[in-house]
Amino acid sequence: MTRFLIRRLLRAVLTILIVVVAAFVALRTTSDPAMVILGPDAPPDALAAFRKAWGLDQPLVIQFASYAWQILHGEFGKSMLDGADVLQKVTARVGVTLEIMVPALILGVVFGVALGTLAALNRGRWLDRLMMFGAVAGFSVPGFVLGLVLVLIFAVNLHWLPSGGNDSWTSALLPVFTLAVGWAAILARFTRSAMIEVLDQPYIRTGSAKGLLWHEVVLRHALPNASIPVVTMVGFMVGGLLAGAVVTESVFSWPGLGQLIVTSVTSRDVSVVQCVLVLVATTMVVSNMLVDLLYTWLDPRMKEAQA
Amino acid sequence: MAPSMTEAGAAHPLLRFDDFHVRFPRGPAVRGIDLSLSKGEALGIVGESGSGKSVTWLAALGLLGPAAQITGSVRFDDQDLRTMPAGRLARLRGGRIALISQDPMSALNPVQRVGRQIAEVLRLHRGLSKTEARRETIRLFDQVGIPDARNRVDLFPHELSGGQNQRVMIAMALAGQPDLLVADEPTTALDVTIQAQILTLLDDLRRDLGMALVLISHDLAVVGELCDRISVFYAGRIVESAPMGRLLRAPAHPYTAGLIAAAPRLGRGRGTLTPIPGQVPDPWNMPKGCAFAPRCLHVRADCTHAQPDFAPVAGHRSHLSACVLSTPAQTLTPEQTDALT
Ligand SMILES: Nc1ncnc2c1ncn2[C@@H]1O[C@H](COP(=O)(O)OP(=O)(O)O)[C@@H](O)[C@H]1O
Ligand code: SF4
Ligand SMILES: [Mg+2]
Repeated sequence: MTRFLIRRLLRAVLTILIVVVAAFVALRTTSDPAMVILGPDAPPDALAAFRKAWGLDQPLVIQFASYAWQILHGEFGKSMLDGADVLQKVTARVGVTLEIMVPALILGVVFGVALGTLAALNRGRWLDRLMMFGAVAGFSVPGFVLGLVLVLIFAVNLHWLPSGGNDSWTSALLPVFTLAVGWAAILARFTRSAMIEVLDQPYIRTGSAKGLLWHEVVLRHALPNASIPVVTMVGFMVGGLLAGAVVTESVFSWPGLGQLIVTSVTSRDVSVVQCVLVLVATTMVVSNMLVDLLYTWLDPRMKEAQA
Repeated sequence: MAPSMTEAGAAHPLLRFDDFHVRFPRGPAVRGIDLSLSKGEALGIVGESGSGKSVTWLAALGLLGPAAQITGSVRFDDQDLRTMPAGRLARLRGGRIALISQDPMSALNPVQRVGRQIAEVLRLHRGLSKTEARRETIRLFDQVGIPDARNRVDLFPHELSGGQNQRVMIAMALAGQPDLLVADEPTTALDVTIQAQILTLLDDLRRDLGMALVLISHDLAVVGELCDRISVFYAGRIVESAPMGRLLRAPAHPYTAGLIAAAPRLGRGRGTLTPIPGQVPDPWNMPKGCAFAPRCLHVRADCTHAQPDFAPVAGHRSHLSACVLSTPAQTLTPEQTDALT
C-alpha cells in the first residue's frame, strides 16, 4: 500500500512538472510576450527593457530555473500586463468559477445518480427508455450549443434572465443549468450501467434470500456497490472542473478562471497563464490520485490487486 | 393427483407443491410438480443441469423476476407462499426458510465483511443488537467449522477460500434458525475433498438442529449420501421418487437407471461410467409424451402419445415413477394401491 502511494505520488509530481515545462517553453517560443504586450509598434529599446525586466533575455534554461525556484517558494510572480500579484488574481477568479461549478456539480450528481438508478430498476420499461433518451440527448448536445440556445430563448427573446456576466444571482441560472444537464446526463448513463451490472450479481439474490425487502436490497447491497465506479467518475469530473470552465464561461461571459485563461493567453500574460496551467494540472492530478485512493478504500478487492 | 397417492406419511407436510408450473416467455421450465416434505426430513433433488431444479425452488420462494409465470400452489406450514403478501414472504426467507446456492464467492457481497453480512440476518430475524449479533456470528462460525472465527468475521469474501465462503453461507442460513434449508448445488463449485466436508457439515447440522433439508444436485452420489428420499427431475417434471435405498437398488425409470450408471461413486461395480447420450430438451422444444423418449433405450410407440402418469410402482406406495414400463399399476385405484403396500 505504501509503495503504491509513493508510486502514485511520484507520478503525480512528474505529470505536473511536465505540464509546467511544456507550458513554459511553448509560451516563450511560439511568440514574443514583449511584442504582444507592448504592441508591434513599440520602439526596440522599450522591448529590450521589457525583456530585461521580466528576464526574457536570459537563456530558456536559466529562465526556467529561476521560475521553478520561485514556484517552489509559492511565488507565482506578477502579471506582465498590469503588475498585479498573479496568485491573487487567479484565486479571485477561481472563487467566481466555483460559484457556478459547485452548484452545477451537486445538481448533476443528485439528478444523474437518482435518474440512473431509477432507470436501472425499471430496465427495459418505458421509464427507462424515456430517461435514457433524455440522457443521450443531454450529452450528445455540446454544452455550448445548449448554452447558446438557452441564452437565445431566456435572455434575448424572453428577457427573463441576463445573457451574461455575474451581476445578480439570476445570471448564474443558465450556466449552472447547462453544466448540470451535461453532468447529469453522463452520470445517469454511467449509474444505470453500473447499477444494472450489480443487480445481475448473485449476491443481490442473496439479499432477497436473507429476507430483505426489495428496497432494502437496493439500498444496502446494490446502490453502495454500484456507487463505487460512479464515485470515481465524479472524481474525474471534479478534476476537469477548472479546465472545463473555458467554454462555459465564454458562452455566458462569466468572469471566472476560464475567461482569465482566454484573456491572458491572447494577451500573452505569461505568468498568469503559467499559474493557471499549474493550478489546472494540479487539480486534475490530485483528484485523479484521490479517486484511486478512494477506489481502493471503497473496494477492498483492489488492495490485493495493488499489493 | 390425489395427495394420498403422492407421498407417504405426508399428512402434515412442512412444505408442499401441488401442480406447480413455472413458465418463462421462451417456454415452460417447470411442468407440474407435486411434492411434499415433512419436518426434519432430508429430501434429495437430482437431475441433469437444466431440468428445472433451481427454478422450482426459486419460484417457490418468490425469487424469480416478473418474467416467470407461476401457477399451481406451494404451501409452507399451511400458508400459500404464492398468494402471501410480498412483505411476509420476504421475511419468511432467511428466517424459517433459508437458501444457499452454488457459487459461494459470488453469492456474498464482495465489498462487505462476511461477519457484517451474517449480522444483517441476525438483526433482521432475531432482533439482536450490534454487539449481540457479533457474538452470535462468531458462535455460528464456530458451529460451521470456520477456524479462528473471531478474526475471520472481519475478512472480506475474497480473503477466504471457496469452502470457507460456503461455510459462511451456511452460517448465514443458520442465522435465521430455519425450519427448512434449501441447498442448491452447495458443493458443485468446490474441490472434491471440500465437497465431502461441506456435505458432512450439512448432515450434522440437520440432525443437530432438526431442520428439514432439501439438497439439490446434478450428482446422484451427492444426494444419495445424505437424503432419506430422492426425487428425480427431468425436463421440468418429477420422473421418479422413492426412498433413497430403494431408488438406488431398484430404479423404475430408465432415466434414473441412466443417472445411476453415470454416477462416479454409484457405478454398481461395472467399472465404466456410461453417461446418458443426448441432452435435456429446452423449454421451448419439449417433446410430446414422455420428455425422455428421444434419449430412452426402452422407448415404445405409446411413449410419445401422452405424458406417462406419475404413479406408484407395483407393490410400493412410496415409490413413484412416470414411465410406461414401470407403472402397471396405472389402472389401479388408490385403494388397490394401498392394499399392495
Ligand atoms: N431466469 C430465467 N429466465 C428464462 N429461463 C430460465 C431462467 N432460469 C432458468 N431458465 C430455464 O429454465 C430451465 C431450468 O433451469 P434450472 O432450474 O436452472 O435447471 P437446473 O437447476 O435443474 O439445472 C432451463 O432451460 C433454463 O434455461
Ligand atoms: S415412458 Fe417410454 S420413453 Fe419414457 S422413460 Fe419410459 S420407456 Fe422410456
Ligand atoms: Mg440449478
